Amino acid sequence: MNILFIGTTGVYHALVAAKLFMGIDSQKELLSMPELGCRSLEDSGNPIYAGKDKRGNQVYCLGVGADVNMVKKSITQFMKILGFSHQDLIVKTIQSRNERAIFRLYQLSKLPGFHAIGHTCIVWDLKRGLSVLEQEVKIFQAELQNSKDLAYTQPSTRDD
Amino acid sequence: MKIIYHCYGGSHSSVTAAALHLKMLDNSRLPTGKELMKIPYYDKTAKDDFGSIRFMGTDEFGNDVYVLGKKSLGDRFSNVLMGVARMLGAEDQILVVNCMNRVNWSMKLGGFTSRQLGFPLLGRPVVTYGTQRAFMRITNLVEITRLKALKQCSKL
Repeated sequence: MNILFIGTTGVYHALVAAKLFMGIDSQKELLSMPELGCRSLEDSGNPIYAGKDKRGNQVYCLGVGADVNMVKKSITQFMKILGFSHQDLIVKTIQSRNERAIFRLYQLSKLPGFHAIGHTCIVWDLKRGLSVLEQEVKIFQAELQNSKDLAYTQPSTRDD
Repeated sequence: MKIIYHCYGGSHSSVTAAALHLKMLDNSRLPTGKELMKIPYYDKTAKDDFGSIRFMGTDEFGNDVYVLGKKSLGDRFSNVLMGVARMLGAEDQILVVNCMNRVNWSMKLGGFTSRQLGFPLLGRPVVTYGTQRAFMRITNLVEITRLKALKQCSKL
């Protein structure tokens, strides 16, 4: 099964949610990932491969701009058109309270000389909301576990 | 194969391209306003239709043709859909075509007035005029897409 976390940008909140889902919960580790704030990854528009969880589920994250729900609707319909279902791909939206501001900050960080300030502000917001994000991921994992029609079991936490 | 034409609102350029692809419009002459208005979804979409992939028909080679409005996501949206198809191992079954590079100012202004502001009486004649002016450029895009689809189908 594939699991895709989508957010306004794919290299901040959605990426951290994907890593949390995979069992990485150290704040230091999460905030020092090389992919965090990587513009080339984000600008490609392609899903970013975050890794595999212990159950073999492929975990991805993706930035889709300001209208996250519209893109979720499109991806869900697109899967149906191709003959796939939520057994093959689950899309989870990651929306923070300040997502409009984060999107604008990310746009700002693209301007020459503004990368550091934009990145710092988004990381600050990420740090502040990390516990909420952790909670959201835990609820999502519980939902998957309780869903009877999904061949999914909760990934075990990292022990390596 | 599935072919998805997309533009800002999924109401004018993508719908015209899909209609050309499906031979609902004659590509050898400019369509009249009445002919354009007969196309399903042409200048008829609502705000809720953003992000909806709508079926337009099946072409003579068995390819299903769809239209989609994706707001200002540009080429990024093609990458998103192609990326998801790749994730599912289905990238050979799909062709995503951005129509925005064939859209002129009359189409933008008329489309915005008709669909976003909700004044079709004012916007429709402008967007129809714009579509007629952009018609040959859209035809060109459709011909390129049909060739790409043929090439991709022969690989499968």
